[in-house]
Formats: sequence, C-alpha cells, structure tokens
Amino acid sequence: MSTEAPMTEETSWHRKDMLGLRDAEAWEIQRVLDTAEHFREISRRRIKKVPTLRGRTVVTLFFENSTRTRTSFDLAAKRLSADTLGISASTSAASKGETLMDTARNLNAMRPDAVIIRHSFAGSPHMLARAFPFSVLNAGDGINEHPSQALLDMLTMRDQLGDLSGKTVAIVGDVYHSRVARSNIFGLTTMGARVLLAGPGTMCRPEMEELGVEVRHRIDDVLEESDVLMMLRIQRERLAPGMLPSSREYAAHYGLDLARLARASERVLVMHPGPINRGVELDPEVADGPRSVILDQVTNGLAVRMALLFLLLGRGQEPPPVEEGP
Amino acid sequence: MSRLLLTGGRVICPATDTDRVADVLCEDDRIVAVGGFDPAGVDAARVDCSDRVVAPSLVDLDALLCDPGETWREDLSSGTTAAAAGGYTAVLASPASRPVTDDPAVVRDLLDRSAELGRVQVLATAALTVGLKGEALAEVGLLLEAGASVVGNGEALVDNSAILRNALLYARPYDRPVLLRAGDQALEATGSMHEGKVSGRAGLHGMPAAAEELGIGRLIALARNTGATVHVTGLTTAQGVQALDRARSEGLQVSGSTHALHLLLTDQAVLDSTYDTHTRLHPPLRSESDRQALLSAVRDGTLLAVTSQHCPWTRAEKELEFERARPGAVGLETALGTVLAAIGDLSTTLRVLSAGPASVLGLDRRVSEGAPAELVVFDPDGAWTVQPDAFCTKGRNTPLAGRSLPGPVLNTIHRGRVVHGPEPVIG
Repeated sequence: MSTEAPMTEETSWHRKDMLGLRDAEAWEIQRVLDTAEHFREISRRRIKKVPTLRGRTVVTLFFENSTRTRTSFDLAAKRLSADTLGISASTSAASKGETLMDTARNLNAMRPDAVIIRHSFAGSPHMLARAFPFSVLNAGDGINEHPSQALLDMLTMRDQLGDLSGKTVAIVGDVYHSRVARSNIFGLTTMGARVLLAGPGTMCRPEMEELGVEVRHRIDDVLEESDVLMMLRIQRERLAPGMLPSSREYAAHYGLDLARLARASERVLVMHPGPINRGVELDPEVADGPRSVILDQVTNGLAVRMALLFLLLGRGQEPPPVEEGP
Repeated sequence: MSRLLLTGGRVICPATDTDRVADVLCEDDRIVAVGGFDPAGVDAARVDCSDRVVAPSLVDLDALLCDPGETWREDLSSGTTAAAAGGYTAVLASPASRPVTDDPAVVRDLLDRSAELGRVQVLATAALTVGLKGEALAEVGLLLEAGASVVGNGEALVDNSAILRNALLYARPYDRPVLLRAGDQALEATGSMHEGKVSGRAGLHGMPAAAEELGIGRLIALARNTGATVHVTGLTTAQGVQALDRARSEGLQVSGSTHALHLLLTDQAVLDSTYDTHTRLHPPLRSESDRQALLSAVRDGTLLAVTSQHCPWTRAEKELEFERARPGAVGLETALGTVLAAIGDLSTTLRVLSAGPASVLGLDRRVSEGAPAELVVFDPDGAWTVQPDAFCTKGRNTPLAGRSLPGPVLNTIHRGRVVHGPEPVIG
C-alpha cells in the first residue's frame, strides 16, 4: 500500500480537529509527518518564527500537569506567530466547580481559533470538538489518546528507519494506562508496522489483542525482533491497588538495562515519552546511551505540533517556503 | 356507568393467546366483551381501532419517578403523563426517592398522590434495607401493609451477603417477590462502559461482565439457601441470562428482567457517537453477543420482563465528561418502540412489556371478559421519530434522539378511561 498521498480533492486536509489516531488514515499521518519535516527547518534558523498564524489565537487548556507537552505546543504556536494563552486547572474556574462545557462556552465567547486540551477523562476533547467551532487538539485524554506524541514518535522512527511499513515496534510497560501507547498502536498499525506489547498482566490485558497487536508480556520475548523499544513510564498516579507489587519486581521483569539492550539489534531505537522513572523502566545508562533517541523525540515534538496547528488552522494554505528568512 | 368501545382493532393478548380482529367493550373499569356482539347498537364512547393493535397496557418494573424529593428531575405528574404516553398504565416506582420508601408514610404519600392524579397506577416498592444502604433491614412488613406491592433495593446492591441472606429470610413469610439487581460493587467501580473490544478502542475503563455473573451467582445461591422468591432486575449479559436459565431449570423461585435499550443498542454506540454521554447506562450497554443472548432469552421466555429503566437526569448531569456523566436514560415513552424494533414480534413484545411484569406485581393484564380495562392502542405498521423536546417526561436524556421507532402509541386506557391520545367519539 502506498502511503504517498496524491494532491487531489479527496486528500486535501479537511479535519477541523486532531482528537486521536483511531480513525486517522495513512495519508493523513503521512501528511503530518511530511509537514513536520518541513517545519523542523524553521527551528534550525537564527530567527525561529514565521508569520503563518499571525493574528490567530491558540489556547492551551490543561487540567492535568504537563511540562513537555504544554511548552512544546506553546512554543509551536509562538513560532507560527499565533497569540497564545495558557489556562490550567489550578487557575481555571474548574477549581471553583465550573463544568468543562461552561469553561469552553466562556472561552468560545472570546473566539479562539484553537484549543489544546489535556484532561483526565477520555472523550473530553471530542465533546468540545462537537460543540464548538474552534479547532480542538487532544493533548491527552484520560487513558485514551495522545496523538501528537504518537506522531512525534513516528516521525522519530521514520527519521531513523525510513518507511514504517514492516518494522517491528515493541511497546513495553503500562500499556493499559498509556494514552501514548494507544495512539501509537492505532498510528503504527495504520502505517503497516507490527506492534508487540510487553508488560505485567494487569497492564497488558488479553483484550488488547483486539487492537491488532501481539501481547507477549515479558520484555525478554520482544528484545530480539524489535526495531524500536518504546519504554513507557509507570504511571504511579493512575495505578489501582493490586496492579503492581513493587518497582523492584517491575525493573527486574520489565525494565530495560544494558544486559537486555545487548540482546537487541545493534540498530534498535530506545524511546520513552518522558518523564523517565530512572532505574525502574529504564536504566540511566540506557536512557543516556547511544541507542536512545529520547531528545530527538522532544525536538520532533515541536515540529509535529507546528505541523498540526498549521494543518488545522491553515486548511487550504500552502506552508511557508523554507528559503524565507535569514 | 361509563362505556368505552374500541372498534375494529387487532386484539393481541399473549396471556390468552389471542390474535384476531375484534371489538372490545369496556364498562367502567372492566372489559365486558371481546367480539361476539354487534357494535352498531352499543351506546358508548368510541375509538376507531381499524389497522391498529389493541393490547393489554404496559407495566413497568423499573422507573425512577424522583418524587418525593427530586422533582426538578421528574414528578408524579410528568412521570405518569410520560408513562401513559408510552402505553403504560402501571409503573412500579423505584424505591430510590428522597426520602426512600423505607417508611410507611412515604409509601402512603406516593400511593395517595398518584391515585389523586389518576393518570396511571403507581405502585410502591418496600425498601429491603434502610436508605437502600444494605446495612439494616427496613420495616418490610409495615411497608407492605401501607400498600407497597413488592420488596426491593432499587439499583443499590446489598454488598454484605450475611445481611442479604437475613433480609431474604425475613421477607419470605410476606410472600412477595424481592427485586434485586445483580452486580458487584468493586468490579463495577472500575469503569464507565462495558469492558471489551470497544472499551479498548475507546480508551475508557471497562466494567467487566463478570460483575453481573458474580452478582447473579450470589443471588441464586441465596435464593436456594433461603427459599425466597427473587426477581433479578437489569440482566444485561449472556452469562447473566445463562445463570438465570440454570436456576429456573433447577426449579428455584427466580425470575429476571432486562432493560429495553440493552435489547437494541450495544457498546459500539459509545464509540459511534464519540462519547455521547447519553449512551452511558448502568449496567453499561454490552457487546453484540450479549445483546443476541438477551434477545434469545426474551424470545424463549427465560427473561420474564423488559423494563424501561426510566432515569430522568437533567442536562447538567449529562453535559459532562463521559466518565463523570450520570449513567441512565429516560425510557417510559420509548420502551415499546425500542423493544418492537429489537424483537420485531408483536406477541413477544407485549408478553415482556405487559403480562410478564404484571405477573411480578400480581396484576391482571388480559384482553378478555372480566379483565380490568387496561389497554393500549398502537399502530403496528407506523413509525415515529424520537424528539426529546417533545417528551412528556422532564428528562431529555436518551441515546435514541432522532431515531425512528416503530409502533406509535395512539391511545392508552386506564380504568376504562382514555388517559393518553385523542378523546373517544361520543355516541
């Protein structure tokens, strides 16, 4: 299957929102990654700003803590010259009992062009997208999806491995609670990659096979055949009682250390969405070692988010020429 | 004496195995003749029922009327108007009013005020435990004496098996069925939708079917142990109805019901509607294989009744994140259309919406001489579009908005009087 999208009517970008990769088509993912590659150039310039979204307003509405994703989106909007406004749970009226819909109604009255939302309940971005004219970007909803993270992961993989079709990606850790994993599973399988899951029985459940992946549990069973080892963070804040006996056991059976890395392909990529629990899912020497592309992920995150804002807000617009500027 | 004549309708009565065109004559609150007379000379108010079905009116076992206590959601007037519009003339009110029907005064108040309104019969549930909290036994005997029809604990589970066993032992000599929901508190707390393939795709925490299987297993074991008559409400899984079937084959005094929406919709509706909170129900909408098992159990009689599970929540309770939204939908006005759409067969539909639930409450629902004049007239070939803004209930929360349903109700007749639909023609 070709993922190359011909420039026809059917393949012009039409989505108002980026809610997830569950229903994304291969050409759409391809388009985001291609556009991101283009925008990556802008961040390498001395003057890292283009006027593409001048006069547009982008709101980040975060009901959960975030440093990486929020600053990345904020910077992406700023580099496209949009005006940005940040609202967080602690400063919003949600702490005074206002509902999400009422918060959004008030925001909408100020006519923002895009709202980037992170929320602890699945489907919250979908609710806003349905009700309001502004573009909604899902920056993580409950355990559901985190599409910009998966897109930046795929861009990082594509940089290193080329076409993702036929590649094997192992996602290791707390898959059940991971919206990063779910978005990656949807995106990677759509792009023709093979996805293996490893992790404790409470975090890698049998019904996940229904998502078109193979569940293996032990990290030792995925090391050798993987092109990518995507290590997930143990999300202590989401763990129900009885899901994990100890960090020690987790590190022993599901963590990636140098000895395990030695058994993987010498070209394997080690990825992690951050923040890392060093010594639990990832040995510090692996995290900082030559196979780690963790900081490339962060760089690509900025480019992917610029691409998403551009595609959603500048529907029909040509991207700015790379030659422009000093 | 008042007389009402229904002419030319197709009389369908599952209890008497009737399906024929006949005129039906009511005198006061009784049916006095079904066919076999010349309607031409009868002096009565008339309803032309040509091309319509005349059937025993519907009976509901699970409606939250929110009165007393939460009348911004529903009150006896709006609730009974909605019931009549849906073809019901008898509704068992959930004990979960505020205060709960765990005090004889609350039971009497409910029965007195609904009788005064006179639209449909409202029946009361004697709370099994105080406040439905599953801790202390309520005064079941006094509640029944005050006029409650059955015993039950509403949606609430009695988590402690020793207390539940005592409650069943205590209620047994009063010789009324005990209505209980099958569930498991801890497992149900894990999610907001059915656990399975769809919850995995939707990224929502799942509620496993095992919760119901554990719950009904416990109810059956205690029914066997105590000899109590138990009606298990709201069964929604294949394992649940299988367990019910086994208990019934064993000869235990156990019957069961499901909810109308679970016969028509599945967990896929959550994803197809992109997290529309109206698709959030409790128990949750289940898988297609569960739905098929429910349909078989309705057809083969394993399930005795289908309920409306009427839960009139306000917009504020639904206009929230999916996992925060209050589970439940209104159902009194849509149950007949929902079950008809799911089952197709008229006789089966009427059995589970009328005769079946009537038997739990000790009511008579037949179209035959001497039976109470409790009837519904609907158009079996017609269709109507669900428009929440046109509902009689105060609730607007339904996953069926905009959907076309079969079997529009034309008239509902309670105690020989038209309580819904056009007035009969005099003379």
